[in-house]
Amino acid sequence: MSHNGLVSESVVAALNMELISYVVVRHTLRGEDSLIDNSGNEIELNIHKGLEGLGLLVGLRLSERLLYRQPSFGEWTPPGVSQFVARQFWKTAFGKRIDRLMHMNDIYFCLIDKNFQWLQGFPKMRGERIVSTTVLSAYGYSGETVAEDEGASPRTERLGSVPIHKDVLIYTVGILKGLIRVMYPTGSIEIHANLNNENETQFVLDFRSPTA
Amino acid sequence: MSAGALNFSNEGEKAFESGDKVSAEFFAITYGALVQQMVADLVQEEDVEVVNQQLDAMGRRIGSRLIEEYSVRSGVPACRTFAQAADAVALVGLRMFLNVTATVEPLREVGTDAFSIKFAENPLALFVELPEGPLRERLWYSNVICGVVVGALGMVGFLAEATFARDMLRGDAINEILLCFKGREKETFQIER
Repeated sequence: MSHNGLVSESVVAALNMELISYVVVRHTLRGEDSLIDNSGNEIELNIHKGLEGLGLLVGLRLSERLLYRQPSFGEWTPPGVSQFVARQFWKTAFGKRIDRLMHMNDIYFCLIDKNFQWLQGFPKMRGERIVSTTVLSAYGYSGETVAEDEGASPRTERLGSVPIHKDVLIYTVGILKGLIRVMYPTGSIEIHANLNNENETQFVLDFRSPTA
Repeated sequence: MSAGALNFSNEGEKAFESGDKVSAEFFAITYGALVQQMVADLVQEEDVEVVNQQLDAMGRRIGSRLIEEYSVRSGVPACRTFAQAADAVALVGLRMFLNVTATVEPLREVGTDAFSIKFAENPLALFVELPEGPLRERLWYSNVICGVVVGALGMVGFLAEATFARDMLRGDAINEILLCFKGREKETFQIER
């Protein structure tokens, strides 16, 4: 019986949650030693960078495997990138296709997962709260920053070393960035994720040129 | 293979086929990134045993969660003996979650309830080569599997230790885990049926 290249989705989800937890624990434990007054913000930024960095690494390596078998020449178009993510990547990582793919003028795409597997162990969102990431990516990796949500309060949002919804989204966005970077190396792209109050997770691929 | 073992093997295959599945390559890449990060975080480069312990602890947490799905979906009745538990781990659990075909046999040592689990394919070790030096000599790259086994067994009352004896990443001919049972927890609560 030869190996067919598949494993159980639940063990992969558990592993990814452990990876996220490892990064969060590492930075929250280090942060507790800090004497800086604004250590809460610093912890958050370090967690974001750590999660995004590992996500990027996973995404870059995964792209080598996935694109190796794709008969494509030259650079991908934004619609091609979005279709590939919605079908191939989602099947590879989550065992299913994305539920909905919405687009505007072939330049702005929203991938909607109604029941994002990696958030199944997290409490459901209630009321008007929305979880959002903002991760900017333009012309390569240098100069990228993780922007804090306006109005978000890390101290009230995070309880000790336990990962939160946003950690999962930031890590997943990192994977997408690593994956798409190989397919669309010279164009600008902004990727972010939201979890709305209907517990739908949305991943936005925005290919519009950034406003200077 | 005994009739019981054959039944377990069939149950493992059915459980795997009926579950949601994702790419083994994605699994291996994710695990590799995490192990690489753990090694990079070592304060002392030679303290490879720390990574082994971290992988084991991580595996125990994963195992304590997977056992619930195992109980619901595997179709295998609760194990009553150490031999049945070893069969369940090797023939059902490893197949159901990792899609690994393994063999299991008792060790012929007086006074031990120990079993040898062998498998040739390791989905965690795709694309992996360990460099010569402390990593190749002391890192049990897939130690998370030992933790998963111990964590899962612990949730159903079996006290066990699992350790790698041989690893193809180190140049051995086969991957081998030694599973040694230490006893059983007395049940502290009743489940209504």
